[in-house]
Amino acid sequence: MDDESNLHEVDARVRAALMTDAAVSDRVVTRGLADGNGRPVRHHPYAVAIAAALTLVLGAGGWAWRRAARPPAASPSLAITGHGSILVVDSQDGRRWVVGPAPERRTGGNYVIVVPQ
Amino acid sequence: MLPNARIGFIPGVELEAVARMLAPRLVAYALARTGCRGTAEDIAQEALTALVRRWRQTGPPESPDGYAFAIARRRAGRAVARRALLAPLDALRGVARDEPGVDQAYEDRTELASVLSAMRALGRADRDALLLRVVGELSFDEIAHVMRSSPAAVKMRISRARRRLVALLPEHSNGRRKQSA
Repeated sequence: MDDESNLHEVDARVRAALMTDAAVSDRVVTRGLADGNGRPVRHHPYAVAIAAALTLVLGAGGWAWRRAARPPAASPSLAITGHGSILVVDSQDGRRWVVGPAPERRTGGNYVIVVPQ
Repeated sequence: MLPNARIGFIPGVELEAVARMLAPRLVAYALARTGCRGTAEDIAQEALTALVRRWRQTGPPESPDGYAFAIARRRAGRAVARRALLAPLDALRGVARDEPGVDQAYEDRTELASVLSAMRALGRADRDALLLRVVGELSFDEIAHVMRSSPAAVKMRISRARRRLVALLPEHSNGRRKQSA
C-alpha cells in the first residue's frame, strides 16, 4: 500500500515539477491557432524535377547560342589537280601551290672559267 | 477505439478547447525531454500548429492527443540530438547555452532540477513512456501507437520507470515524502 502510494506520489511530483505557467500555455495556444491558419509552406513535389529541367533547358540554350554566335571557322576549300608527277593545289582565294618532284641536281662537268684580266 | 475518435463534424470551438487542454501538457512533456523552457515552448507550439493545420485541412485526427504528442516527441528528439551535436562547438566558441546562468543556478536547487536529473537516469524509452503517461495523460493504447510498441510493453515500461524514479528521486524538499528505498 505504501509502495503504491509512493508510485502515485511520484506521478504527482513529476507533474508538479513540470507544471507550466498559464501565460506560456496561453501564448502557445494563441500562436498555434494563428499559425495553423496559414497553409504550410511546402516545397512543390516536382520542384526538384522542374528545377533540373529548367537548368537543362537553359544550359542547352546557352550552349546553342554560343555555338551560333561563334564565327564560322575558315574551311579551306582546295581544288587538287594532277598533271603527271606534278600536283597543283588551287585555293578559293586564288593562291596556287605546285607540288612536284625535286629538281634533279645538275651533274658536275668540266668547265673552264675565263676571267679577263 | 480510442476515446478521442472522430465523430462527424467538430466545430472550431472544440479545436480551441482541445488546444487549450493540450498546450500545458505538451510544454511539460517537452520541458522534461529537453530541460529547456524556451525549446519546450517552441516544440509545444510546433506540435500544436501541426495539429491545428491538420484539423482545419482534413478534419481532426483519430487521436488529437496522440497526434500532437507524436510530433512533439519527434521534435524533442531532434532538439536533444541537435544540442548534443552543437554542445562541443558552442563550448569551443564560448557561446552560452539556452539556460540562463542565474535562472539555472536557481533552478538547480528546485524540484524541477531534481526531477529532471532523476529522469535522465531512466532509460530513454522508459522515460518517454512514463512522461507520455504522467505528463501527456495519454492512454496506454495511444502511447503504444506513438512509440510504435504494444500496450503491454508500454505498461511494463511505465511500471518499471515509476519504481526506478521512486528510488532515484531525493527526499522532497518540504519533507512530505519519506526517504525512498
